[in-house]
Amino acid sequence: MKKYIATILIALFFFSTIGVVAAQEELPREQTLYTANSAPPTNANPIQGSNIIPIAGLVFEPLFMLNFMKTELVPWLAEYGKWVKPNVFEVKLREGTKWQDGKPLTAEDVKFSFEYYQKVGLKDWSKYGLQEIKVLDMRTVQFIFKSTPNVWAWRNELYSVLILPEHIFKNIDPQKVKTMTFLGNEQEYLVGSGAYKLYKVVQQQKAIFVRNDDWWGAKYFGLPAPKYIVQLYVGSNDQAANMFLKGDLDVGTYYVDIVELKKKNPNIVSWLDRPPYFPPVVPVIMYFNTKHKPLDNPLIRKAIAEAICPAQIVKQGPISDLPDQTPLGKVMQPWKEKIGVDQLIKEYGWKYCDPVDAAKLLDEAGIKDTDGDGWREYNGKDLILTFAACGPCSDWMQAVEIVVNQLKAIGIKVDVKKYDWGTMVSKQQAGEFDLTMHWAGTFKPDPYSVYYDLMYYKDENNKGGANFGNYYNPEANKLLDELAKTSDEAKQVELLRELTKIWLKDVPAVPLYMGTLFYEANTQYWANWPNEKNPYGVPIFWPGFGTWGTALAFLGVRPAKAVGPETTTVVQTQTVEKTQTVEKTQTVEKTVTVTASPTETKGSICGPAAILALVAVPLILRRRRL
Amino acid sequence: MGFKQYLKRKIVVYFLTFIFAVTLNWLLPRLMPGNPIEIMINSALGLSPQERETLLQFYEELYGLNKPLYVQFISFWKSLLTGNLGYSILYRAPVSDLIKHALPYDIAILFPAIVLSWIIGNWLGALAGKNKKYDRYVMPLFYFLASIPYFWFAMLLVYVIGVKLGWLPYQGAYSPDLVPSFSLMFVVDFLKHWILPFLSLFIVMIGSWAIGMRNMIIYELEADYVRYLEALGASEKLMTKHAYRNAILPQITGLALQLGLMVAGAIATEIVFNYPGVGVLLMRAALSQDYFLLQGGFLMIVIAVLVANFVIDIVYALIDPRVRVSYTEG
Repeated sequence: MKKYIATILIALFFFSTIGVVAAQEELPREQTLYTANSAPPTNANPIQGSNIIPIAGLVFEPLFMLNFMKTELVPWLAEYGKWVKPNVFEVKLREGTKWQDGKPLTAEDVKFSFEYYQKVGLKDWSKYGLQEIKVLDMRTVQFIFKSTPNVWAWRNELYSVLILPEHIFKNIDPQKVKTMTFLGNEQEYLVGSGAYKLYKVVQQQKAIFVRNDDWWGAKYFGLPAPKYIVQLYVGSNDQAANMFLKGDLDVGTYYVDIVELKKKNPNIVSWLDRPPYFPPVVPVIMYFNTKHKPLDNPLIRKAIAEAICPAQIVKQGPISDLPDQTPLGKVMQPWKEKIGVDQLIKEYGWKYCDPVDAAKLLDEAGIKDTDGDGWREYNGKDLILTFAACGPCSDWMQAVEIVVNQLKAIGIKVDVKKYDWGTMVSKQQAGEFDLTMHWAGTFKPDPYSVYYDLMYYKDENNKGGANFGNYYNPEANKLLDELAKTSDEAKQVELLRELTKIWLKDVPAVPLYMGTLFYEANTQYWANWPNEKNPYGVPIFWPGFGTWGTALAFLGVRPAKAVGPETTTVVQTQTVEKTQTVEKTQTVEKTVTVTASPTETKGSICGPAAILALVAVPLILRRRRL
Repeated sequence: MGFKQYLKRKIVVYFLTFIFAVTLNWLLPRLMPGNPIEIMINSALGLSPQERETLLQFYEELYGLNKPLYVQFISFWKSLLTGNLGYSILYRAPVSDLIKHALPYDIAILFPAIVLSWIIGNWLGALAGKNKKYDRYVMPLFYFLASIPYFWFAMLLVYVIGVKLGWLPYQGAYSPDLVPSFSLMFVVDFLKHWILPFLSLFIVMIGSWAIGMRNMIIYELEADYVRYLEALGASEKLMTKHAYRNAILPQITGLALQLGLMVAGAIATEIVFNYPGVGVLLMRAALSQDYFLLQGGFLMIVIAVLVANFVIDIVYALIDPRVRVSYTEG
């Protein structure tokens, strides 16, 4: 019996080596766009955490798309959306919107969708004081609030709520929908309104989408070029780099050595043609714990900010670009121009890389080095600030080290505490730090949200989501409360100007450098990828960002007729690094975290050690027999 | 009579072990300091407090974490018996689904690797134990194979055969442009991708099986019963046959354990060859604190190892008269 099995297996083995049949492509390469994600496609749930990129935006559509790179709303299913009264927001659908099964998409579907999100428990419209969703006619729907709601927060809902087909979803229990994956038999519910339909999911490996040639949007936006979109599962950066070299991947969000990649494959493009290549989006900022002395004193915070030199971080640290003194990143450029941020910085701001003035400020505040050991004292003891950092994030640690040295130059000792990502965030939320860094609060689609997240503080339960330092300023609270209810742009700009002034004078946090997103695309088969000069879409090819502009980018690519130069030989970069890069795989959200900067590629020793330990287990077990 | 009693006792012991292991498996994440769900959510984007609250509530409800511990325990067993292993936060899919889709790849690689290496390794080991000359040349090679870091060996295969010589694909379970089906094209493609990871495991395992067998054979050949046979003038073949039958016993235990651990996948292999098995799934779960996937995975392993052990116990009782006798008399 054993012999039989052995023979069969050996026969199979030889058969497979000999039977070399050229693998024929099932999907024509010229008509297929390949993208990838670092987690396998296992969930197509449109309203609760799909990890398949095209589900939001390409299969199911929102009323508006957000173009994050310009913080601009693009009317999508909606022809317009506007405040017709201070408490009434009216949305009119475009003409001819319809579902993929041919049924018309109407205002009733919009009403149903908003209510469904609430039933599922994912949204709470009562916090806006929403009283009624009123359908005026087939194409018009009004959201009626008690009084003017937070218009900025409401704006964010317009692109985050996907419009669902009432005739399909009314049959799904909202309580059950949360845990549904919409794969297998449940795939029948995936009737969207978008330009693509889910064709097939090979669990854990890929998701294949096919174009919906009957898309309602074709007459407004044109039919998208790729017939198929395939989302592969590519877990490691090295592997992604290899695939880009070979031309197997068209677009992705991986941390690759882009200079090297461009050299080997001239078809590779990115957001910028110059360093940092990757799109710098929002600043990574250093927080002060304003509840800890002496950091409660704005002058001390300003002194520390002045000692920081972003130019050095950009040069020696992670891939980045220069920030300015405000938390408003590059994506806010249109807003910044309206607010006149440059002028405000000149008037009220402080200067980076000014250790002389920093030392002067500290001297004035009475924080001096009296015992001559090179460190300044506060209340008779060396001033030591603890810095809560993410140990495994190698690029963040580079920046932290540079900052520590820059503060050392003005006599401030920094004690760096390294945690893993989740613990670091817990420490930040608990306020257990003197200094810490994050881009939370800056990665937002509008200036209000940035300032709200970083500066709002009523009490422990009512504060901005990223106000880790518990910065408190009643003036800022007042301005933010007012801004929340202001839909008039001239007044918005005025209020934002005041907030920027407060930020510059009070220094609640200091931008260290511009965080970059990872983005690279291949023009061998598909061209017209969004870039700095043509930012029509967003280079975030991660699940959950579909309506942030990823869908816009998919819809904007065009076939590259000219076949590029021959692809160079593929160099395998599978080194020990590879074991460590696997560490980078976190939850879907966490990958997003990684984008804006920390790449846990280097990882702590624990990761590889754990892998080796796991590898050792079977070996040990095997040994036991001896 | 004796065998039935033996079986009964074993079943009770295994049942208790099972309950204990599963309970422990359930308890550990709950005894961890802090709230695992909170840590997981903290690993996410800079969420607003409301969003955090919504997510927390969603997952607490999903796992019934807001209910008293004993209710959680009961519902855990209930869902377990209905085949529900929970919901992975990392992959946003039912754990049983994830494992179901990953497991075939592990079995495809590990089962033939374990079984074939066991057969061939034992054969080679037995030869070495009997034949001194052959032993001198072959055993160092086996010791080398069994003791080199597996990672290094697998990467060497990837580099030499996959990259330098370009003979075989070395990434994934099949080409990215294919969809699994029962077409000839796919099967061929799959097998081509299968060879290298299989070989890497197979070669390394041969070494350790052979070493074990060789040592056992040498030990058995020195045993009194063989000497007695020798004194009686029995043929060489007969002596070897008896020695072999005794030496193979511990090897069977080893084989069963290996097969039991198969559901855990071969993590190193899967990493090096980017093979989509359970091993990588579990590793990623561990690294991203996805307790529910980990719990589900460990549960599978616990069950498989227990089953394997149980099978060994039965097989032992059948093939080794000593075990049977000890129970019949007891």
